[in-house]
Amino acid sequence: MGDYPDYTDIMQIIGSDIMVPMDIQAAYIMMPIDLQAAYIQMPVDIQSQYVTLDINIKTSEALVNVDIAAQAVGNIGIDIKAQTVGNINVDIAAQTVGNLAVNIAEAVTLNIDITAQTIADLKINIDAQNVGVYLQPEWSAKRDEDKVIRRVNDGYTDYPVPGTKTLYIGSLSFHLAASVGADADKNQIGAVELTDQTAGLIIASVGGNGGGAVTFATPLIIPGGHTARLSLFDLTNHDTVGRATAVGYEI
Amino acid sequence: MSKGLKRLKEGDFNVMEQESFPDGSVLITLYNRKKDKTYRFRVKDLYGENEQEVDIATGKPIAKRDIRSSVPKVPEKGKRPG
Repeated sequence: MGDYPDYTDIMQIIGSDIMVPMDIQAAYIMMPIDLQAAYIQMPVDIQSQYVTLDINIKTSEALVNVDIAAQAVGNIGIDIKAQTVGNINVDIAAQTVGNLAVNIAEAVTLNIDITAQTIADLKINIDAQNVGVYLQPEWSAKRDEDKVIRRVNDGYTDYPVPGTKTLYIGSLSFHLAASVGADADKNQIGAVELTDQTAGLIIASVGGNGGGAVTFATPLIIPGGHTARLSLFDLTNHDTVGRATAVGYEI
Repeated sequence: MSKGLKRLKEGDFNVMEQESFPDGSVLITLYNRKKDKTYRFRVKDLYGENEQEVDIATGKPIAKRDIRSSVPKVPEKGKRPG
């Protein structure tokens, strides 16, 4: 007798409190499950080289913990339709993650942490009422992380950047004017300079007659623990008043 | 250390303006948007060993009221006060 016995039987269980512990060990398992109940708790632990798991749960409350330990994880399609979606914890530990499509049609907070050596396509479709994408400077301003350093009149201003932060400067500007009317028609040559005093580097400078400004495509970086110096140079032969400004953010 | 100077050293501000004076002191104005507070203070030898906050208007050391000078002395036993 080399064949395994063949059990084909339909189970119908009706009750108010049902617990069916199942332990199935076989070379091939096909187990379609259709559960309809007011409350379902179904811990599933499947360990196999190949897993196809179709689960259809329709209930007002469902707690589904899925732990799949396999050598190859193919497509994982998760479609959750509910009035309230709480925490969705998905922990996929695999050497290869293929397509991971997440479609959430509700306003929820979605935290995704993917740790993988290889990620192919990661498509995220969030159909929410309020989704914003901001450039970093705008985002920093919204979070009150923007920084403006200003120098009044000729001289320099030092700012030691806190060790836990990094200072990013996006623009430099200055203006210079004669402090007495008799010199107003003369050239008001000046310059503004941003220096990393700790590294001993002049990061950027701009000069001009009466003023000047420059915006940087890539922010200038002053690392935490370094001192940023903003200098305003009066290069005239008369008394002047002026301002130098460095604008950026610190995160 | 005043709150303003503390905020400066922690980087807890959004806008800083600094103006120097001939005596070497600097007048600093800080604005913190989240707290909606403005701090204004004047410091000599900022970040230096002899750092000292001074009066904003005069640049002189801030006078501290000596509370003990206003408390009447207890007269010696047997003697009248005054």
